[in-house]
Amino acid sequence: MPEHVIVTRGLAKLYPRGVGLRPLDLTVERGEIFGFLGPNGAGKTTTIRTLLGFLRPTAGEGEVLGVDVRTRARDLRARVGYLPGELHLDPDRTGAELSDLVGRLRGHLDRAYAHELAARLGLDLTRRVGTLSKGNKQKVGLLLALQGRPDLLILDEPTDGLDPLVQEEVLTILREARAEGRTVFLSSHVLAEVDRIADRVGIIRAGELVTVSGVAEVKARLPHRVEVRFAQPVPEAAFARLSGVRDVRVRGDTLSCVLDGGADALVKALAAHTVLDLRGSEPDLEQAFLSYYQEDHHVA
Amino acid sequence: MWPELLREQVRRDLRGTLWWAFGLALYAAVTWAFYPTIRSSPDIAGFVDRLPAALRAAFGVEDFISPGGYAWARMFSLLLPLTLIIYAVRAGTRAVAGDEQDGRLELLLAQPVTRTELLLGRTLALGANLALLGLTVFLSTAIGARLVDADLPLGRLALATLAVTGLAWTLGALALAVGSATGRPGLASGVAAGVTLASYLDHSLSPQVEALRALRGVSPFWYAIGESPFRGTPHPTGALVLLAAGAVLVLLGAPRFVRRDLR
Repeated sequence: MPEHVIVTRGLAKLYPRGVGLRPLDLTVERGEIFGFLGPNGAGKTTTIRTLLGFLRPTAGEGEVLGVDVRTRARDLRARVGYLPGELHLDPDRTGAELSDLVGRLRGHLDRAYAHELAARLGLDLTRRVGTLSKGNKQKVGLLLALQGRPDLLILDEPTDGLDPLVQEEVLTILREARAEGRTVFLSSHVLAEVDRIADRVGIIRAGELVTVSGVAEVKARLPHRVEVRFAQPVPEAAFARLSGVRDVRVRGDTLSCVLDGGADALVKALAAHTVLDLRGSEPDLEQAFLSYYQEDHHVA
Repeated sequence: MWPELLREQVRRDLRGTLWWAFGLALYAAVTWAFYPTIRSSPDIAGFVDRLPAALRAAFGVEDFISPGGYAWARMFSLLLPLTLIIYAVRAGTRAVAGDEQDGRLELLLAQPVTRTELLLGRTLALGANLALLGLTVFLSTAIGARLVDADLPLGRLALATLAVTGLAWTLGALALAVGSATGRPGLASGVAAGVTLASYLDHSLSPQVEALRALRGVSPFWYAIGESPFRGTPHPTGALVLLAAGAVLVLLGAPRFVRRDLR
């Protein structure tokens, strides 16, 4: 089995109107969980559908499990489990029937494992899909992707619509897959989720991969809000022009600002005062993207 | 894998198809239930005789009284083929383009299934469903005629059924081909409906309009109901042309479907 499970070199899907995916260079290693992160409409689904051969790339190369994505090889798909971002299942079928169908199409049906997965997800396989809630439909989709124990799982927003307990169970199942040496490529627009599970994360915005790195690194680089409480009221001017700090607000003895870059200048400025409390909030991805877009705006 | 896809599709359509079969059987039964009244009514025979010859030919009411003439006029010359065409165009549109628009193809094509196999499975499913409806028409007509002591020749009935089913198959396959080539269900059913209307007009006007007569060879209606299979020498070639035409249409759409983006 190749060590590089997904490799793309300048893989692009450009539409005459609007961008789908700008030339993408990406490598996903065997046995890792790769989080593909970006706001809605950034091109996550376009990337996934190009990798799976549903869309023809307009440029570049892509290989999945060592197979060229343009060939749409049938045997490749036997080794890939896919959860679509917009799941549409036949409403007249029960979960068990769909599970059997997918098993027969893949030439491999492990009913015991399918039932185990359904039990873990809290899914009733005997109910017709049309009668299920959105979250339960999502569980059926997850079951269909997971049940064949594929070498590569490509999951478009896997925890969308699931309640927190089930979300946690899904993440556990994905960690187990990783422990078995299988690879997970998942897209999400929620940083916290990717943070809990992914080894590496790629951030995409407006069809372009902005960065690929470890999750901790990404988080450190993302701007986040810091609140500091002092023993006495402080003058706003003392902090307004620090490098790496913006959106500075002082209310009496409390300073609130957004840390974007190194914290050094801020820490040294704080040292001039008596600090009672210091707290930083988790970086919010949506906010981060907002700031990215604002930067674009300034440049324009 | 395509037999699995065929099985899946036929199974999915089965309930709907059985309702259509039920409706067609009812139509045949009611049609034959009135046959004794028509047969013994001198008024109707006189009415038909008074119609202008061209009108009789155009509406296929030349012979209204014999079992074959009655079956032709009441069922096989217009209403039955149109009903089968409506079914076939709906099913052909849904088979690829409709399902694609509903997002249902993606999950299947994420399995080890090629697009060619999917197309083959769906095309054969359309054929199988139409065969089921054709069989229903044949049996219910044969039984209905028998029950009212109408001596309907079964060989000619079989040919007539094959011809109208073949007509529906051709136009359903057209919808399937356009839908699979473009992924647009509206376009698929629109083109099929347009071709149906245009070729029916061509077929029905060509006895009167000289200019259209040369064109009737391109109208699928000509091959199916150009002349009554219940009279004269039966010609099975028309039905065979239609069966082949449907297959060719799907083949023409296939290369686009295999290459294009899924919508």
